[in-house]
Parts: sequence; C-alpha cells; structure tokens
Amino acid sequence: MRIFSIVSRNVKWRFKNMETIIMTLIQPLIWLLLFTTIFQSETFIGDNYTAYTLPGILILVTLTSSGMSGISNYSWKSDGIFYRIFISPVKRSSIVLGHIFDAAILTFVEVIILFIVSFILSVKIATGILGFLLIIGLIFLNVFFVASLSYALSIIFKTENSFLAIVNTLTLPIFFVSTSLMSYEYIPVGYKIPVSLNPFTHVINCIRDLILQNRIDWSSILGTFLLFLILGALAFILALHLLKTRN
Amino acid sequence: MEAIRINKLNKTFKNGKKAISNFNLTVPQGEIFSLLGPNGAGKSTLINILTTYILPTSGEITIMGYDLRNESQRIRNCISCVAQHTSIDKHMSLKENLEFQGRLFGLDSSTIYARSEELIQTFHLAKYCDYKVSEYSGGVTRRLDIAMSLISHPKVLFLDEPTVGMDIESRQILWQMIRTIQEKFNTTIFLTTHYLEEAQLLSNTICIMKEGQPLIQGSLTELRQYFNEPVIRVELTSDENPATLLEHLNTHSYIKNIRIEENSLYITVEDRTRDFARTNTILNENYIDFCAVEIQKPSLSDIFMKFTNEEEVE
Repeated sequence: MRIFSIVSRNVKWRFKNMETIIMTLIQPLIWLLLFTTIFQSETFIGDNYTAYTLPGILILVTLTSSGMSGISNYSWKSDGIFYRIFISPVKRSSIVLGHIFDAAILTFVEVIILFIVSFILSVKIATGILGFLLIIGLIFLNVFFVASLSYALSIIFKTENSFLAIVNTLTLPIFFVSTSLMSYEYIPVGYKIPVSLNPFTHVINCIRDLILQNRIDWSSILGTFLLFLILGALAFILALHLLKTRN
Repeated sequence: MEAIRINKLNKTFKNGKKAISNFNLTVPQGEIFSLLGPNGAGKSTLINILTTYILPTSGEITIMGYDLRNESQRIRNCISCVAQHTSIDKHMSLKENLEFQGRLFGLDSSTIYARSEELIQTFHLAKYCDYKVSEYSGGVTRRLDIAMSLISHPKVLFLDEPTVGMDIESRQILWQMIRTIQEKFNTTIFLTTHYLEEAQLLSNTICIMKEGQPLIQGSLTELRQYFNEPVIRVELTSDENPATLLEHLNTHSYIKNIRIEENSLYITVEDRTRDFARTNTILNENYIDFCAVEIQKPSLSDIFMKFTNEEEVE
C-alpha cells in the first residue's frame, strides 16, 4: 500500500513533467524511424529491418528511461522529499520498489508507443499473444534490473552530473555492443566475445525470435528469464543495501 | 517517562570529522526542549541521527523506549521532523501533500481526512487550499510543513531551526503554534534554533552545545544559577553611537563582557551596586546620552555567550 502511495506520487509528478517522457523517447524513436532505413542495406538481408531492430530499440528504451530513472532521487533530495520518506516508517524495500515501478510505468508507456509505431510500419509478432506477453515479461525483468542499478548509482554518486555522466557513458556502448542492430554473423570477430557477454544480447535475441520466428524457443526464453531474475535480484539487493547504509 | 535518552553518543564522518563526541542527554516527555549552539556545533547531525536519517558511530539512543539501532522502524512510527528546508511537494496540492504524508504512515482515508481538516483549521490553512503550493509564502509553506509532520500524531516532533528566514509576524504565529502543538497533542518537541529569544520564550529545558558536546542543560532558571554575574543594560538615544561608549568602557577592568544589541549595551560586571554606580559615572563624565540604565537578570544570550566563549578561551 505504501509502495502504491510512492508510485502514485511519482506518476503524478511524471505526467506533470511530460518532458521526462518525451526526452527519453526521442532517441529510440529516431532509431526506429530513421536509422533502420539507413543501416538496412549494410547489415541485414530480410523482409523487414524495422521488425529486426525493434527488440534492440525496445532495450534501448529501457536503458534510457529506466537507466535515467535514478535522476529523480536527486530532485527528491533537493526538495526534501527523500528525507521525509526516509524518516517515515516506510520499509526501505518499498522505497526502492516504488522507484522501480515508477520506472516500469514510464518504460511501458514508451514501449507501447514504439509498438504502435512499429505496427504502423508493418511489424507483426509472429508468435502472437503468447509471444507478446513473453516480450512484456522480458522487458519488465530488464526494467527491474536497470532501474535497480540506476537507483544504486544515484545513491553512490553524490551529484546529478556524475550520475548523468556515468549513465550516458554506459548506455550507448551497451546498446552497440549487442545484436541490437545487426545479426551475430555480421559482427566483427573482435567484438563477438563482448557481445556474447552482454546480457542484453540474450534478451534482444529472445525478443527478436518471438517477433520473427513462428515457434517459441523455450530453453532460450527460460534461460534469459532466469538470467535476468538473478541480475535483477542482485541489483535490487545492492540498491537496498546502499540505501540502508548510506551516510 | 523520558521521550529521548542519549548515552555516550559519538558520530565521526567518513572524512574523519568528529561531529558528536561522548554526548549524553535526556528529554522528558511532553516538554519543549531547545538545543542551542553556534554554527557547526553538531545540532543538525544530532537531529539527523535521532530521526534515523544517519547512523551513529557508537553510543546508545532510545526514543519513547525504543532502541534506535534495533527498533528504528518503531521509532519512525512515533516521530516526525520539520527539517531546516521545507519538504513540501510543489507538484501536489495542500490536501494531496497531507494525504501523501498520512499514507507514508499507513493511515486510512477516513483518518487522513479527519486529521487533515483538524490541522487545516489549527494552522489557519483553509484559505490556501485552492492555491498552488508553489505560490505560497515562506510562512504558509512552513505552516503546511509542520501540519504535514503532525498528521501522524507523532509523540516526538523535531523542529530543526523552523523559523529561519521568517519575518517577525510569521515567527510569532509559529511560536504560538508550537505551544498549541504541545498543549493540544501532548507532543514532545525537540527544537534547534539560532534565535535565543525563541528558546527563552518556548522552552521547558535548554541545552547549549558546542563542538559536538553538551556544555550545560537545564531550565532557564537553572541556567541562571550558573551565571551569577550581574548585567547592566544601557539604552542609548537614537543619535548616540554605541561604539563611543564601548570605547570608554573598554578601559575599565571591572567589565567582564559587553554585548551590543541595536542601541543597547549589555555589560557583564563583577559587583551589582558598585559597578552600576561606576557605569553611571562613565556615562555622565563623557556626556553620553542615554534613555535607560538598569540592572538585569542575565538573559539566555548572556548565558550562551558565557558558555560558548569560555570554551573558546580554554
């Protein structure tokens, strides 16, 4: 119930500050509408490059929106909201979860917009409703992991500028060092190992299969779910620990 | 029963700065307790520890009988704090702010509604309900801040320099409200302030601290017993410069301390009768125009100056 109060407060704030939604949506939308056309001939042979790159762009949107979500902690601190909530009897885990669910709502608003634009650009999900639900589940686990990490970073870095610098430094390399824009075969040899080690590569591959293939590769899906459950739990524990021991 | 008990509290920050050192303190329940000290004395650090915002390095603290280290959630249920900077959500309305605060304490809608109405009346906020919170003046914002802190009916309310930056009228309204809180809600109030007049007017007990340690604690009457030196107040006429009199007085060894407030000089002396006469002589011999000269009981300012300056000398 107290999580709901925090989330509800954050969502109200979010929709009164629409620029926070628009700013994190612009980059993925540009990728989807513009760059898919530019890169198509060089890196992909197939029917619909937009459908092919949509998974990578969905992950980019989770990285930008959930990755940036920790920034609200700085305005919380400067406005005294952080202090007010911290000294109230709200469980520390509820404070972190309230932040994650707020990031999830923001991300899913943007994901829905990206799906609508993609559907207009003739993208179809080959595995149907079940595939769509699995995509939503995978994205949620991504958000949980990234938003927890973002919260942890907002506790570690004392200033907003340091936080922004680190998030901006990490986001695009993570996006590029993955299979978001090109299939594994096209990736230069030297990059293949980091691409394989990037956990987001596995989510992108899973979502891509769900969009393009007619069958569901359950072993791959369950493996990725498990991977992100573990990563999400570890990131959440880290964020909680940092919040409890912050000084 | 004691609302707060602090035993051998120490706080050292990661950079090695020792903010609180071997601090002992008790605050009886239902009192207005004022903590005074110069800048950097450790007042805000102490409040941050007592409100569970930061952890102490060592020492024992109990609030309403609960141990701060092991029962912090229970403590959070019975305290509230009005911090130096207001913590109102400018994106929400007055009632939404009160509701949000109530939700943080797990109150149900009907309780929040009833308490909000009561607080809006008590703090004369009704006429501001329809305005945006971002348009409120400093005084109204502070009143809402305090009202929010009271929605949970805290047993202990921390007020960290609540009147900083307020005009005299708003400050006096707030002082009246602090008294009302104590009487109406039987709340223990732990107040830190820079304004000695504020502490003198409101407090049952006063503690003066410096460099992370308490120097003295007691009621104003008790504190006066530590300060037996008489004080002579000389009020000058508006066209007279206090610096001129100060220059003449400084040549006399019977004067222990001089404090200037506006056009008045508060002179701490050794002997009440003898030095009163001497001061009058100095005023007459030097043709200094004054409106009044009188022997006073030491004020809290005199006590504060004595204790904080003594430490500096040592």
